Amino acid sequence: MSRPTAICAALMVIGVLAATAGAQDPPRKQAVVQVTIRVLPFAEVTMDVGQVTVTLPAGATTAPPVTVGGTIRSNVGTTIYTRVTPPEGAQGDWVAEPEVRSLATGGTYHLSELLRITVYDLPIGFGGSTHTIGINGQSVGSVNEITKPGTGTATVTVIPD
Amino acid sequence: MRTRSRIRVAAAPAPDCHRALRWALAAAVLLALAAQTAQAVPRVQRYIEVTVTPDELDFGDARGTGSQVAPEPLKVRIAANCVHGGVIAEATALAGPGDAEIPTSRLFLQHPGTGQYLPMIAPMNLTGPMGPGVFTLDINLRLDVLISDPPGQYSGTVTFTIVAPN
Repeated sequence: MSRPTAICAALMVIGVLAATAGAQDPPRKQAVVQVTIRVLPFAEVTMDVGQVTVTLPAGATTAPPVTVGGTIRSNVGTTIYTRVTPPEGAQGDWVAEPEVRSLATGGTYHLSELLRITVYDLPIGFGGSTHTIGINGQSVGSVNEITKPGTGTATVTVIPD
Repeated sequence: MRTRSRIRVAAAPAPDCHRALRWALAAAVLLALAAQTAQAVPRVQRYIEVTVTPDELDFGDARGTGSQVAPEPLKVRIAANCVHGGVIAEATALAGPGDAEIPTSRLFLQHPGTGQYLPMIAPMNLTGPMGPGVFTLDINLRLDVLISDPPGQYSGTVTFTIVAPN
């Protein structure tokens, strides 16, 4: 190829490139949205509804501990406060164990693994019989008299740390 | 005779040089014509634009497990004077406190074609190929929060992109 021919070929290439530069595919266009949400500290407790049966051994003065079904769910560490109010006229010493418990991290916990309700110091005469403890929402039934059941309450309060 | 002969030799240019001058002149004329033509005929450039409002979307406060629907739909406006490949949407995970994040599998977009909420786990084609014109899409978003999400602020992005035609 002679020099003039090469020059002309180069000029033509440059011309073609210049002409097609404006006809390229359109660039991708974008729009961006910033999305935010705030997750707040949260804890909830639910207690099962139902009944449990306790058999008090003959001669015993302490009813076997009763566990309460339910769950505690939280996304932070929590402190759990438990309080038991015996029914009016109930005998024995009603105790929730433990009364205060800390959970270092959030998650789902079963109440039955955290909480026990025990009635101590019952009269000897209660032994050798079967008693029914009703659990209704946040209440735990009496163990002191099956024919005249009273109602006490077990309250579980969960405070996010 | 000798003198004439010398003059002829000196006055006659080389054939290669002639050819080069002619080519260069032709190229210059062509370029000048092309430039004049380009100036004389107004050229309509391709135009494609996508905008979205608002450009910040706050889902608000979340407590426990549940779905948070965005308080207002995103308005995605597409303006083009040519055929293009349509709009795709893609999202990033929402980064939270520490290493916590809400993954894109829990960020849902209501597809404008089907009305179904679909997880934004992959780029989602919203329209398919589109012709020239101005179109507006109302896009609803939903975010699922779990009890296991640590408290704090989470942020991410949703990007709408116009793609080139196939």
